[in-house]
Amino acid sequence: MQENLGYACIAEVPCVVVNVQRGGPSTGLPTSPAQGDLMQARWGTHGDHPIIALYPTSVQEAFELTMVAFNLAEKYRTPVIFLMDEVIGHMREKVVFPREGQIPVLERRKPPKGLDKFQPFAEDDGLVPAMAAFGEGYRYHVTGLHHDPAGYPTLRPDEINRWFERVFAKIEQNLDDILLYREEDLEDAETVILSCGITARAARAAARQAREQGRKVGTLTLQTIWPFPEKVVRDLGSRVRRILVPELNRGQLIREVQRCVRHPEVAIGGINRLDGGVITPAQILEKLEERSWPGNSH
Amino acid sequence: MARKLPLIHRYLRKDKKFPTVWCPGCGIGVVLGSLIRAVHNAGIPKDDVVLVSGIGCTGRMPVYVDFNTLHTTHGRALTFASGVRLANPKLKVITVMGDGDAIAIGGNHFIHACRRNIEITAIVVNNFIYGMTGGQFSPTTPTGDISATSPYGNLAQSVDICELARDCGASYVARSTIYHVNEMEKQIARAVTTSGFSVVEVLSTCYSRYGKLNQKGSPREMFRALKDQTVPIAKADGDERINRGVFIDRAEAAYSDTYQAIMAKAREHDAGEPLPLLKPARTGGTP
Repeated sequence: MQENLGYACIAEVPCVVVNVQRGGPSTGLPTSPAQGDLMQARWGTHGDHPIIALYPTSVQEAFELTMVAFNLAEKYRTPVIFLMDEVIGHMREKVVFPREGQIPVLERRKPPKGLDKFQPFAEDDGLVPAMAAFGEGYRYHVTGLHHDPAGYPTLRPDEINRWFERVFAKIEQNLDDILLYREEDLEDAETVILSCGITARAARAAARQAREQGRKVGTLTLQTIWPFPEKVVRDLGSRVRRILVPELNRGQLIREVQRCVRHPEVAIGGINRLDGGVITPAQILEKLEERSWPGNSH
Repeated sequence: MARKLPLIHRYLRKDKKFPTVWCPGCGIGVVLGSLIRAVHNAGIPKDDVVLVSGIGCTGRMPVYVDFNTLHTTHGRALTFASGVRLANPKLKVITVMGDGDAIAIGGNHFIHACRRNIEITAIVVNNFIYGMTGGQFSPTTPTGDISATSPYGNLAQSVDICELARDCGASYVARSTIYHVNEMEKQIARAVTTSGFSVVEVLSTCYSRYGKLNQKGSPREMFRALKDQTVPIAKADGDERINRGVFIDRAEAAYSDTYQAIMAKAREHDAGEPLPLLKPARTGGTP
C-alpha cells in the first residue's frame, strides 16, 4: 500500500485510502481499536511529501468526512488518508443523510480543449495542475519518477526543487480549507483535552463532567490530523495551562503537541492505552485530578 | 528496414526523450518497433491506446512513444491497467513488462488478470534476468545459469510464462522472439484486437547483465541463438527446443463489458429499492 501511496503523491493522483486501524504491530489485535497508525499515515511512504489525513469520531462524521475526503483529493490532486478507529468502523449509529443536491461534489479541473501543447504538470492557473483523462485527446506521460512539467523523467535539480515547492505549497497555502477541527468550551478553559477519533468522545464526556464539577476544561477534537494544525495548537498553548492528550498508542499525537507549543510552563500530559480497550471518561477525569499535574495542589 | 523507419518515427515522441536507457545489444527496442507497427496496422488511433508499464528496462518503454503512457510501480502494471480499462472500456490497454516485473513481483496480478480474462494485452519481454537492477536471477532464468545473485548457478527451475497464462485462463497466448520480428508483429496485432486477456511473450536478449556472465557471445550471436533454440509449435513434435507460435486463441466474454452491464443495472435501482443482494442481512437487529 505504502509504495503506491507514494506513487499517488508524486503523480498527483486524487484518491482516498481508508485505514481502519487495529491493534498492531502485525496481525496484532484482530479486531480491537488502536490509534497506532497516525505517524504511518504521515510518513508511511518513502520520501518527503505532503499528505492529508482525516479522522472521524462517529458514524455520522465518517459519512460526512468521506465526502470531504474525496473533494479534497480532487481539489488538491493528492491522496487523502481516511483514518478510522476499529470501534467506529464497526459501530452502528444513526446517520442523517443530506438530500439529493445538498452533497457538495467538487469536479476535477480539466484543461481547456484544443491546446497546442498540454503540459500535464505545469503551474498554469494555480498550484494544482489541470488533469486530463486518458482518451480525451491529450496524450501524456505519467510516471513515479521525478518529472518535468511535461511529465517526462528528470534529474535536473531545478525541476525537482520546483516540483517539491509546488506540491508542498498547494497544501500549505490552503490550510484554512483543509484543517477541520472542533473546539468546545475553549473560551475560558485552563485545561484542554486534545484528541481524535473514539478517544475524542470520551474526552468530550469527561470535559462536560469536569465542567459540572466547576473545573474549566475544554476540548479540541482534530478531524484533520495531517497536515497537523500547528498554528491552532500553538495559539492554544499561549492561552491554557494544561493540555491533556489521551490516545490509543504510546504517544504519537502528543509529540506534535509538544513540538507546536512554545510555552514551557504549559503542562502537556498524555494518557496512553495499547491493550485493545478504549480510554474512558473516568480515566480522563482521574488524570485531571492527579496530584502530580500542575495546578492540582488541593 | 529502411522502409519501415519513417512509420515508427511517426509514433515516437519528439521532445527530450532520446537516447533510450537501453544498452547496446538490448532487444527491447525491437519489441517497441513491432508494437508500433502492430498498433498502426490494426488501425487503432493513438488517442485510444494506453501503454502501461511497471519497473525495469521494459518499464521504460512507454515514455518514448506518443500514446497515453503510464509508468507505474514494480509489478503493478496490470493493476493500473485494469483500473484504466474498467474506467473507460473504449481504451485499448496494453501493458509491457519484463519477466521479473510480470512474473516475480507482479506474478500474483498476472495470474488474476488471466483468470478475470480482462481486455488487456500483456507483452512480456523475457530476457531471463533482472537487467536494470543489476542482473539478479528472475523466475525465468534457466536452472544453473549464472547471475549476480546466483554466482554458482541458479537453483530454482524456471517458469513457462505461456503455460502459466493458458492454464490461468487467458484468451490469447503466443510466444515469439526478437529474431522473429514479423511473427511477433502478427501476434501482437492479433493480441490487441482480440477480446479477453491476451499475452505475447517475446524472448529477448540482455547482453550486459546476462549474456556476458553466461558466455552467450556477442549480441548478434545472442539474437541468432533465439532462432536456433526455438521451434514453431507446428514442427515441435518431439523437439526439446522452446516452442514458438500461438498456444491458445479463443474469443471470450468480455470482463469489462459485464462490469459495465452490472453498473448500469445498479444505477437503475439507485433511485428505488436496493438490489436484492445489497439489502442488509439483518434489519432492526442488535444495537
